[in-house]
Amino acid sequence: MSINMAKSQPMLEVVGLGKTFGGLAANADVSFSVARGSISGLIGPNGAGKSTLFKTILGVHRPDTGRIMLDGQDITQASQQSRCRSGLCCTFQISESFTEMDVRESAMVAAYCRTSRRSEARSIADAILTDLGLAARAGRRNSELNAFERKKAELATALATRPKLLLLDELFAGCSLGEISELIDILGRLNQRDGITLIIVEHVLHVIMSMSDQVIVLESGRIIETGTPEQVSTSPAVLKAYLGEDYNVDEHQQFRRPG
Amino acid sequence: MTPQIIITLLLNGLFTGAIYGLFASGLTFQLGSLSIANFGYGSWLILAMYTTFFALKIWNVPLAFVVLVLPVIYFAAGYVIRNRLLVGGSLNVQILSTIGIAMIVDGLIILFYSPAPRTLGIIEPLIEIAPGIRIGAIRLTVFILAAVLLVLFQLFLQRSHLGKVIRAVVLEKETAMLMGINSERIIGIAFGISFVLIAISGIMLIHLFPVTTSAGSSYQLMSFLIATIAGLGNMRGAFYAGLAIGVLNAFLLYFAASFVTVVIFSLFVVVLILRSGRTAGMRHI
Amino acid sequence: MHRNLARPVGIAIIVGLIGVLLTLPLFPSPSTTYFMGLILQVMLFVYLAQAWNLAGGLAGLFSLGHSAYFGIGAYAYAVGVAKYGLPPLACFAIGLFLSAVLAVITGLISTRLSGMFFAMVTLGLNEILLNLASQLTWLTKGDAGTYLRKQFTISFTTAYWVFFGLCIAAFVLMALIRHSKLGTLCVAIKENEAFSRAIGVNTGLWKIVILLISAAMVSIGGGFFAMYQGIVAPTMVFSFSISIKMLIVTMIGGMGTVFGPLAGAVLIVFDELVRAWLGSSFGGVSLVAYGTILVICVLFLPKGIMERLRPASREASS
Repeated sequence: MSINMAKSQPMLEVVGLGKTFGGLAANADVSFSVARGSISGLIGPNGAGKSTLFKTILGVHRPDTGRIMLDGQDITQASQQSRCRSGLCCTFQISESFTEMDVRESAMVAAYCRTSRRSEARSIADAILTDLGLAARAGRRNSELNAFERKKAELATALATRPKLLLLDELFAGCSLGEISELIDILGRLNQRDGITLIIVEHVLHVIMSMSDQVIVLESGRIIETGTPEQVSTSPAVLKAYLGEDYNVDEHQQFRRPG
Repeated sequence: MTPQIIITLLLNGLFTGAIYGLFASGLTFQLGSLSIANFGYGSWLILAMYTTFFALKIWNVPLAFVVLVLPVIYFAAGYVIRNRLLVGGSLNVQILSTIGIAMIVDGLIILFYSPAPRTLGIIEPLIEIAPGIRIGAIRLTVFILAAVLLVLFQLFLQRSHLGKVIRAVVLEKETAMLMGINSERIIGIAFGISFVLIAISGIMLIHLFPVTTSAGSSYQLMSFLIATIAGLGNMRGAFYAGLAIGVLNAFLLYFAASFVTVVIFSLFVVVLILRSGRTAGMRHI
Repeated sequence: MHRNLARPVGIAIIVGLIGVLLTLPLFPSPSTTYFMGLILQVMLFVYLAQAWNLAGGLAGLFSLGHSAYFGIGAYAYAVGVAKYGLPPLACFAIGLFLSAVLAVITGLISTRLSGMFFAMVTLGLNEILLNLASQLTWLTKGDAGTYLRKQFTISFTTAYWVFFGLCIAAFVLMALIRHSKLGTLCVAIKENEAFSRAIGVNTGLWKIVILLISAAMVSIGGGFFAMYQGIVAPTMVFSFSISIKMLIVTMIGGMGTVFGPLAGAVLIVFDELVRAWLGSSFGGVSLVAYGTILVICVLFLPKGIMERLRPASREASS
């Protein structure tokens, strides 16, 4: 990964991003960059401004200050659909997608941002559904799937836009251990085989820690720590943010089992 | 045009506007506070007008009886509509069922009262408050009554136990339910109360204006216009916006009578577009 | 009915229906004339409902003012030929142009307003046009209406064939659109506009496109309606009851489905039969009946007749 970073510009670069809602700063001076082909985790306690940051990058909100660069291109003022055409896509939390539409057609909606031909959109959609093991469910309505299949269907929809950078919002929430490992496999494949850069917003910390090249920690709208999973998990600032002011890092170390 | 005319128009507009404010505040209460889109509002209003006309002119019932009975019937109608038909429905369901109910109401008006325009035909006594400036006595009464009613309604919501419960349900439905309040029943009651406002507005309106079967949609759009100008749910605002529309209406009637509706509805469309950001999902009481 | 039979039975019904419609005019008699009148009325509303279905059913643009386009089309034709002596084709073009302007305005509004606010605005726009039509007497002859001379009207039989053709065209167009890029994107917009935007759909553009098509169809219908009626008056065309019939017929059949408006046509048949049966007291009864049917449908059949006929499982075969 460090080699990639050296030889090319970052996939996503966020500089000095700020967003205020009615006097309350949801994000302030957020700056980070995401290397091409990497996996980044975005974590933080509830209300830390994760979803605001997520939505600002996607173009749902316009930032008050700062710039967003996607693959060297300034997309700060771009519309959502042009961001999507530039290769930025996301999965929302479940139940925020389609319900009555069938799985194949949902993916075709997304594929239409790359092609206007129906047959082509259909083959893009079918290829992705097969890849995710959903081919047998292609004719079903989204509402007829179980929760895990819906998650995968939604991931398939996002993939049909052929993204360079994919933002995943709480993809693992509510999944069993087996389902989590299947998703990790899929994401790893997308990252390694297709070279899709991933940003994962997640509550399930062990997933983030095991998958990410880089972890970004938000607290009260600001970035308090950026680093490798090892650096972040031992950072005093992060522990304080997650466990409270009274928490003493040294105390924690004392009770640690030797070895 | 003399200052006398201007002042006369202004005062008559204000007085008529008060009643617009009154019926619009019923709609704004339904929309903003109870989140119910009632597309049958206008029909219920003209039903009250027709019924009052028939009660007074044909059935020879005293006005006091109408004032006592009609609001009670309307309360029951509102409660039943909310808790039998609209409960748990999506927005489309609300729009369609309230339109359906409105069509039934319109049909019943035509069947039982006939579609002919009706008017009480009262010659309004004029009070000369200054040389050359005359105001209608009924309008003045209506203005005062409407203002008093709205203040009472506000007091009811602020002070009474039921009012407080309604506000609690409007602001935090789930929490209120956890506190042992039957939210569905309370919303039904609140919807019923908003129907009482419609009934009273109708009784007042028939004393000022003739009623036709097509008036319903005009009143409907008018109250929607007033509610959006004021901000959905803002009842005091609705009263003032009603006054403003009343004055505008009075001047338009004087200068360009044929195009009153066109101007007012164009204003309505523009206001809706301009205020769209602020009206969406607002919840007031 | 067994669900797997739904498709062949449906095809048989449609072929049979087209056969009856085609052969009926070959046997002139008083009773066929009565039935043709009934069918003409049904076809008019099925056609209009299908046009509404494109915007309202597919894309979820819940318009309560589609009669605006109907009125524009009707008045463009009537005023064009009667007052300015324009050729009929030019009148249709003017009607289409004006409807397109209104459709673009409405489409732009729909990018800012949704749900009941959009419904209210469309209602308001139609009300504005209704009042303009009755007040601009120099242009429209006001509430008295514009009469057409005999040479500008079409006979009953011609109208029958015209609306038969329009209906077939409307169903073909709907079927084509439903299975095209436009149809897929419209359904996506209806289902979840925010999500559609996030996966790259230019929602504003497609809403305007589908509204333009829908408005053009209604406007053409309005022009032929004027031709057939021989008179256009404000409350005849800019009427809420026309808008609401388009909606109810679509809704009973099933919003966004290709054959929904056909299934919903049972309502118009019912309506016409009640009209024939009751005569003068019809107005009130019809409103009560429509209202009751609407409420019952909303309560018990919210997704329409077609949803009930939908095969339970379509996987593997498709």
